[in-house]
Amino acid sequence: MQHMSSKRGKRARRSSAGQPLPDEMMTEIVLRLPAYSIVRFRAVSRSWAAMLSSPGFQDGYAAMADARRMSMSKFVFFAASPASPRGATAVYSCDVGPVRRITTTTTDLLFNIDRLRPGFLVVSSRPCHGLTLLADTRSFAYWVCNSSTGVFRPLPRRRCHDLSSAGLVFDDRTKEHKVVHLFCHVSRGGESEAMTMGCEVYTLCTPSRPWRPASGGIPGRLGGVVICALLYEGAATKVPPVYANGFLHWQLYPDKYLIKTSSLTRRRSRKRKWKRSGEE
Amino acid sequence: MASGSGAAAAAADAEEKESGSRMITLTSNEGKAFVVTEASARQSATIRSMVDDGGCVDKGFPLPNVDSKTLARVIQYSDEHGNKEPHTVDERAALAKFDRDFIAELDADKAFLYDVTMAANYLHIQGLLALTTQCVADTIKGKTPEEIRTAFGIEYDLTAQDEKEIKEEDTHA
Repeated sequence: MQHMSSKRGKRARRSSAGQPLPDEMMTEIVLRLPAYSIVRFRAVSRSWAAMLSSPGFQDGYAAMADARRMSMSKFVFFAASPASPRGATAVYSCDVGPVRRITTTTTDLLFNIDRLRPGFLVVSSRPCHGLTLLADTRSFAYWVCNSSTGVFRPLPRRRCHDLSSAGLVFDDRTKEHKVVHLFCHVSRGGESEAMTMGCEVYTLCTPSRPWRPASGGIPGRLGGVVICALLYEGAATKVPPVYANGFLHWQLYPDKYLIKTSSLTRRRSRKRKWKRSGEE
Repeated sequence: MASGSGAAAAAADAEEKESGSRMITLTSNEGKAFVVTEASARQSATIRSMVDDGGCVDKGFPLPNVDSKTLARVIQYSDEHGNKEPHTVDERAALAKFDRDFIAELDADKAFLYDVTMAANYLHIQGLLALTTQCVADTIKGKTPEEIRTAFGIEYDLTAQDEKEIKEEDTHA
């Protein structure tokens, strides 16, 4: 206490420097600025440029951004709707904050999906830049929802598929979310069966663009592989594709993965097979 | 919150005997005493550690860096956050609304906002500090470097060479 009072009062400090807040407070504030302001404010003065470029500040800024992301991220789950347990599914979100907050009731109802039992619904992708993809594994209907705001949008349906799997990706270059959909369609004409498969992309933006076939399509030699992946997911794993490092990964066999690049900015999709031993 | 009259101090003494609901006196740099609940005072990590270390609770806490007007406003915040623990969605929404209204009022008077920020920093009230610094950050984030210099009284000391380098880095970013 004693040494605090012996310091010059804050008003004295302020008037002498002509600066309303001392440096350590400015750092606190600057840590909360969006990245574009940080870049621009290096042109304020030499000391600002030095502070904003220092490794200490950048570490602090990264830690702050991580903490923000943590506090904003939500966990999505679903259960039979209390209103009509047999006929509808309710989708909830829950904070992924500090543990103590989970114990309190921080669960919010996002929306109800009618005529669907929870057993048929899967969260088809882990949250990708705030959005979550939900899939009905029986009718292959898809929804995208923002677990923070509760806004959700059903994706347009075109026709019935026999096999279907979709993943959500975030395109860093256009800053748009895209849903990549692999499907297989069996048309039966008499004794023969013809399989049609395809890959299409839906871009989430306003106004939304319709499903568009991925340019380039699926290379012929990978046709069998795609069907394998779809069959394996539908029959065995029920695990939707995983988005990591800019690629969507479909599981093929316990030790093989189908990887699809999401280089969608060039509106061309490439596919390649990637083998990996071991389990995941 | 009550101003430090004799009656308030006596009431504080009576309550102090009951465990868990002690009253704590905070004194501004103008010598004005504010009696608050311990739960409210514990919002401040500075006071919390002094209370936990024992001692000085009876004498109260002199706050030589905080004036009465600022302290009253800080106590308004810590009363709201310390005395009530939000359990339901509605209670959390009410607290969030309190924060919004609280900061909107402060935002109108920048000098006072800075005073409250300084006090929150000095008293280590994390929630209040986050609220006020975020408010300042939101105000300045869209400003030009020139406007920042004016707002914070910063001298322009970049050379043409510095500025050129920063501009170049910007185009790469």
